[in-house]
Amino acid sequence: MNFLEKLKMQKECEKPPPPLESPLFWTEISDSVSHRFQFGPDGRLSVKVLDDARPVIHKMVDSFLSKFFPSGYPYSVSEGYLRYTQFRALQHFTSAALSVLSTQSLLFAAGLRPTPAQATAVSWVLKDGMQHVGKLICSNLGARMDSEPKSWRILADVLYDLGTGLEVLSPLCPHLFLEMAGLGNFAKGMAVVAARATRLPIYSSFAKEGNLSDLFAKGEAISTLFNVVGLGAGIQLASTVCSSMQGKLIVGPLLSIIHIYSVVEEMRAAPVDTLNPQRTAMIVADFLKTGKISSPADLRYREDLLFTGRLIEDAGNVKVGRPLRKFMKPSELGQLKQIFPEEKFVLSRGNKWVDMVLEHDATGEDALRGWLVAAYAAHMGKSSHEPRASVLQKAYDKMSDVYYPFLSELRAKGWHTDRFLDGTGSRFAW
Amino acid sequence: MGCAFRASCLSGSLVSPPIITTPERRPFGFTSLLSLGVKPFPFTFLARARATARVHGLQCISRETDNLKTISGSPSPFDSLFLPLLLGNDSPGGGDRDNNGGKNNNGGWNNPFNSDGSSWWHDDSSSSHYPFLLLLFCSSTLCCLFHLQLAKSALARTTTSSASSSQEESNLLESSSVWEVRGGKWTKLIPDYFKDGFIVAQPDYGTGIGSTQSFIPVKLWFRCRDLFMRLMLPEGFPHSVTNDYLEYSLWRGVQGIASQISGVLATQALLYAVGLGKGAIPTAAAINWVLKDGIGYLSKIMLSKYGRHFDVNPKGWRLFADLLENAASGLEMLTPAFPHLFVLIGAAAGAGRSAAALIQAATRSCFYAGFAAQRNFAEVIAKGEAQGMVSKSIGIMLGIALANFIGSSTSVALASFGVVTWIHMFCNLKSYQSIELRTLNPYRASLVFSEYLLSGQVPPVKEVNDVEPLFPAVPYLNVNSLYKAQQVVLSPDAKNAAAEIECRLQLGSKLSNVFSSKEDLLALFNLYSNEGYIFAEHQGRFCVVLKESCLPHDMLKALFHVNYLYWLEKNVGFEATGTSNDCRTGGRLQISLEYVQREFNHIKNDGESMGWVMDGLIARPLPNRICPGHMAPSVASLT
Repeated sequence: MNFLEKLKMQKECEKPPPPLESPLFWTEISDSVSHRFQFGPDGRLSVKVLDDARPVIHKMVDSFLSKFFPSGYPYSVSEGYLRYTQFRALQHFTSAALSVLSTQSLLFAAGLRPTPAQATAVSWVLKDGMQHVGKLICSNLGARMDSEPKSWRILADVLYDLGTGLEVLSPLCPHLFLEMAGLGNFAKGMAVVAARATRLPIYSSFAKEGNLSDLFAKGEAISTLFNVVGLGAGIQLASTVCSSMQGKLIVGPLLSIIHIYSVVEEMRAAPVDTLNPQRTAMIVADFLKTGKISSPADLRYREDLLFTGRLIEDAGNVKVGRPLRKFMKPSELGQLKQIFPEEKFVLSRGNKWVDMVLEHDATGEDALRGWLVAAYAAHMGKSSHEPRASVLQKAYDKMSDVYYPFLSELRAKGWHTDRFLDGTGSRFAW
Repeated sequence: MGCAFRASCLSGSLVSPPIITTPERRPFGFTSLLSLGVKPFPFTFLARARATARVHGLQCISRETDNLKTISGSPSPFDSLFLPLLLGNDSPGGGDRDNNGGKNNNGGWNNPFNSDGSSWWHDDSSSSHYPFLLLLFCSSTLCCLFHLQLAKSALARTTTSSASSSQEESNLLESSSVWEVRGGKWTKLIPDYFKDGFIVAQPDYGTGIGSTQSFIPVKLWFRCRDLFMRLMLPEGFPHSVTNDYLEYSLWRGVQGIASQISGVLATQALLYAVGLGKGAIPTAAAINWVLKDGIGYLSKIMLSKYGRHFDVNPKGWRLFADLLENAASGLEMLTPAFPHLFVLIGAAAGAGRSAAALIQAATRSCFYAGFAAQRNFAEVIAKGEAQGMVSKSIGIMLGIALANFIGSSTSVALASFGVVTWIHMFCNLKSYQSIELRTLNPYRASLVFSEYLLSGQVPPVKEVNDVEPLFPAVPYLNVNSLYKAQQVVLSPDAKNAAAEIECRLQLGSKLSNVFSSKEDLLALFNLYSNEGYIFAEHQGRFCVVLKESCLPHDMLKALFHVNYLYWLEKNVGFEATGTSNDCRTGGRLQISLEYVQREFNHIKNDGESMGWVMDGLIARPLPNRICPGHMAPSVASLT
């Protein structure tokens, strides 16, 4: 900043450095405008506006944008919020446009002018009945969504587009109108619940200052705006290109692809800061490989949102939450439990992977300990051919050495280590 | 015993027919009722069956509910439906786990509907042509929902207690058995040493019931109960959420019904105002879209500006939103009286409605985040959706029935609207009062800190939430919900201090407004060189200037500082002598800062042990940050 340096030089030239430890100027940032305050040589306070060389239009745009950003924007949110928001806007735009097309098709398929009684009965059964069933089914899967909010959110939007797609296609087979529209609404009902339920885990990873409601309200404002724009665009499309079925078959998938793409990007931008199996494995793998601990923002683009249960070799090929009875024999359980009697995990080695089962009240820290032991054991097992129990014991000792610095570093990076979110994975109790 | 069953089945079926057959005239109401009326009633019916089975079969103490009441020691006015389920709790070893979940459930059931439930049950089956019958009918169904929900609460506790008790038993008997835990479901595995494998033990539902006659219905009942709980309550229910969750959900359920009813009434009034009878749905949809959505979009965008206010005071804003929603419904109700103002009134109502929807959605996230004790956000929300769906369905059903009954008479419509609105607001108020927010906003933090300074103890979450006013900005609106017993816990001094500090506090002030001379500024910079904030008193206001590096944690520290200074001022009489004087060694800012640096970690630990979230302060600082000269600003502008 040339300007700043010049100022500083001026100041230094004009008066001898005062006998004070702290310099007598400061920068005040208020509503994204920086002011520089300074005591002049005569002891009076002078104010300068810093780097506000923006044109008037930019200023107006900024003050407009600030309506759509949480208050205290750059400080009060986590990294990735801007990107998340941009794609969210795009997502809402395309989805709204798509919904206009599907409504048009639906009315078309129903014969455009239904008698009132029919319309009410049909619409009630369709809209609410099927949607309720979908909602009920999806609300049963909440625990899985906590573990993998991003994947479920993407799934929700895929389901939603499926539902819309069925509605768009309904004029092609008018005799199946009821079935098509019902199925469409069923998918939509599931999508609505999944989308709503996953919103909070994702938002809470952005909320740095406990400003959850604010984020929510601002998010609502953005989606409202882009929904309106999208509806407008959709109506335009419906009356021009998409008035014929062919047009719809081209534009519909196109919009849907943009929609899904923007959801995927949106989800990848969110730095979720809770421990689930995949993220734990990635943290452990990074730690073993580089000795560093990744922050939630580092991991977000490397997460695999499609195959969430994939094995990570560097982290010891650990699988969590398989039912105990599938792989464990009672005699084995007693032995394994005796290796680490105080710990809340049990490690059992299979052919291709290591199974880890947690006790029912195990925290994220217990899971991390188990995972570290498994990873160390896997590394040592490759090089030496000692008996398994001694390898495990060595790995355990190694884990105990590094564990506390590891944990405190993890917390400092912003991870929540109090819970291990393994969805509906099995745990055990004595 | 078989007779007992048949009788209860009969009483169950006596109740349900009028619900399905009342509105036979309109196709609109009929279709929805048919598909909805079926759902919730099997549960009450089963609850009764189960209740009698327990009374007659297992307990064998007495056939009169009065006796049962004295045994269980619960003074609640509910009939036999609820109590026998509670009795199931008395199994050995089950008491310990209950304490945290059960505390709230027996507490404040002073609602107006349960006064005489049983007589209403019979009233509504007798006839169907009197004007107030539908109101009775509606309230009796509310009653029924209450029974249902309470039964649920009792059941939730029985399951957990039985799970834990049988677990303990199994520990004693056979130490080798293992439990497989999947979400909230516990499966017992029995080791089979012969084959060296595990066998899944059959879940023995009817433990203790020897008679084979009652076995099948009991099993069926358990199945239904399990299904219902799985659909409606978060997994691992009593432990995976905080203990205020159940009470809140119950009140939400009832208010959901009431709000749907008034919604239906309002829509009907709106339709009459445009001169349409029943069945003009396409036109109505068009009008609805333009009014509700179009204007609503605008009001949503306008209102989202206040997002941070929602965080700081979610309960008050939520109640305000409910008021807004009811006001909007009220406006729509009035449209038939002023048909020429239709568009105007409709637009205003639409704006109010969507503003309310925005606030509700935003604050709901705040509440749910508090409930999710194990970071199980999605689960809690998903189950909230399911609960909302059930109460909405019941509400729409009742609303359509009521609307059919009222027809076009405005006065009856207004009267019933008034009653429903009152119920709605009351349930809302109760549901918000039952929430215990564990985060600290300036008021709660001040109360906690000043109580700590006065008595040396951090007050419990519940007490602080009970005394917190819902509308701090508008004092005379606050509902006085204080109980006499609680005033012992929190001293009036602490409450006054908290109220005054909240008034005088200014977070995120401009530094240029705080000091008056160069010396003051230098002294402040030097004193706070290691802190994330600068705190000074200026013209009676507690001004906290935030540095760029300030974290929520520093804001909490600053507030503790403010509280200590206030305490010094009140109790020691340490008066302000100018900023630079105060900053010197022995000056009050310096002394208090030293105390804060020494004591802050103590109170943080104490607070955490009482269940408070001491990570930071949830506040609405003014958007000013400063960056002292020796540090360069890192993030400067928005884009």
